[in-house]
Amino acid sequence: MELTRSLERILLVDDNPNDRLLAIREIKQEFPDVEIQEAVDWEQVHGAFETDAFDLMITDYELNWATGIEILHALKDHDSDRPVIMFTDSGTQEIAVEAMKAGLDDYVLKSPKHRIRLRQAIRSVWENALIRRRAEELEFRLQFLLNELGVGVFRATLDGKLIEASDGLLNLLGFSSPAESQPFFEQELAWEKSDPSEQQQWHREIKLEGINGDGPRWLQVSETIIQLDGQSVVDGLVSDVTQQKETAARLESLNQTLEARVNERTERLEQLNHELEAFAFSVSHELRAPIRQVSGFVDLLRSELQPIALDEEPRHYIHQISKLTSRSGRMIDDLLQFSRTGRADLQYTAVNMDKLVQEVKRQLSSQLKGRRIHWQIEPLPPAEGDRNLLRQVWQNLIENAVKYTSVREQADIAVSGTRGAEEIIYSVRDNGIGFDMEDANRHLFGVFERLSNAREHEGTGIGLANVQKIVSRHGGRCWADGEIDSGATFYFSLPPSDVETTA
Amino acid sequence: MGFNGYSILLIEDDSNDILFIQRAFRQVDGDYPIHIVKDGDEAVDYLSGKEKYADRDSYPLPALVLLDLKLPRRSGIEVLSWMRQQPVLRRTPVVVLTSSQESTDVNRTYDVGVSSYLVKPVSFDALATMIAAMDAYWLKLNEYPTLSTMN
Repeated sequence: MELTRSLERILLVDDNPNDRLLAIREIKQEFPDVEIQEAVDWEQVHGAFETDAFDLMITDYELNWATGIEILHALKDHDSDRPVIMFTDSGTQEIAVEAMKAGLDDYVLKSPKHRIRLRQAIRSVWENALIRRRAEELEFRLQFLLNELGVGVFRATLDGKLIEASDGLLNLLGFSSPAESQPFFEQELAWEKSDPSEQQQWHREIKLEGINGDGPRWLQVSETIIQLDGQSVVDGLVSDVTQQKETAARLESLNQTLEARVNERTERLEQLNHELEAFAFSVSHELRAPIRQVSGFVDLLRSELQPIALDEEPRHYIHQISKLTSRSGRMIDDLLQFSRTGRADLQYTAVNMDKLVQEVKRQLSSQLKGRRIHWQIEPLPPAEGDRNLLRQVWQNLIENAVKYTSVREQADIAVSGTRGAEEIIYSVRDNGIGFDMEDANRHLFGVFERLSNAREHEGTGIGLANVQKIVSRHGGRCWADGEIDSGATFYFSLPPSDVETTA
Repeated sequence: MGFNGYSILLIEDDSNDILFIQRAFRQVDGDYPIHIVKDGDEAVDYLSGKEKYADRDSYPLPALVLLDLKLPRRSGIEVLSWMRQQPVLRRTPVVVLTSSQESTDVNRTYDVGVSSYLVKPVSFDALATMIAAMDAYWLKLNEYPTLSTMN
């Protein structure tokens, strides 16, 4: 019902026809479209009640067959909320007071001086009625909502005496009356006595032990201090949050099981990884013997056929077979070694990188014969790791640098290392044939991967894969920069350490 | 006399590998006397001179033993271990020539008392080079202990 609903029908109770005309005229001045129903006796009054087609009643006081008060009571019996105005010429203060007490909304005199007030009275009374109805409706809806949400409402004094408690609250707490709930309220819900000027509003959670063998319940209480008629009172809202608490607890336990399951899964994956590596190793190992023997027979065959004059073709076939079997042999040996670096336990020590690089350079001396190489080896920070495996890393990188600069008149190879906050980074730079960065992103460190421009050079392509495996086992990473024909720089990093070395 | 100072005992079960080794030796030193046994028990029989092996003219005690680790019946390491417990055979130079490169195998054989550990290379040329080196070192250069007949 909107506040703007207009007054449409009025019931007029008066047995004097002139007075009725008078009233009607007054009403129509203000409400031209209103329908006016006239009742002149009890029968018509009751009839009007029965059809109930009026919004507001105007009644005379002095009727031949009843008093206005009696009519008023009758209307109140029928509908206590229906607006009613008394329009009379016989009025005393006592009657007016009695009528108002009985629920009359307004009292207007018929005298010429006062009757003009009737229209205003009707308007005010009607508007008030609408406001009242709206308020009732809102209150009803509020209650409904609070009940549906399981929220309880209360009002209490500062020292914990309940002033009001909603049905919702009583239901929530399991009491049947405010009085019954008072002791409980005082004990559990009352606001803790602290200085009211400090805090105006607060929330807390209370745990109640279970009733009737149910589990514990959780209530959330929100309280505000308000001023009511110059007094401070506490207005509170109570809601049952047991469900939320349970859900939160379940989520927590689910999280923990999840973590446990993730750990389990990780363990299993690591185990699988080990099994896979062991498998790769054993396969390589088994495969080596037949490859070796085929290679042996091919060599013997070649030497047997050497003295025999063979045609181009068969000679070529034998040559190719020989080349390919050697290659298979080298691949399998590289693969075995690669596998081995994966399986061997790391023996951690402090490693002097300067000495290690010098050792590697010395070991390569046979490959360096006849080459013009300009070495630029800077002082290198020491690191912690498996010396043997780290040697392989340097060996692979430096060998590559030497190999891929073979086309240059003078090869420039630079080795350096810097200690950063997060990691120690080492690098080997050369001015060799380089590589295409786009190509490299996918292939460079793969097992047996060889980039297109490297194919002519010797090697099976496992060196860099080996480097990556060793470096990642140490907790580091490797990457490279390069440009076709402009050389390449290979980097690898190791976790920082505070080693001092003499080794 | 059962020891002629230069024969080789090859203890190897794979016939292809036997062929390769023989060919490699032939390349180096034409007619070198190589005696072959194909399993661990047979090896022990040969070295202890059991039954037919008592004939030391036909089956001389070796100056050098070439031993594969993977053998049927008794394993290579068991043969080696047995040898090192014999009063005289314990001195005989034993070179392991095998496919395994596992450090555990290497360490164990050295613990038991092998003189040298070689891994069969993939290419035949590499094998030939190895055999040539072995011949130059063990059979020509190395000073021999006294190894007399066991009977």
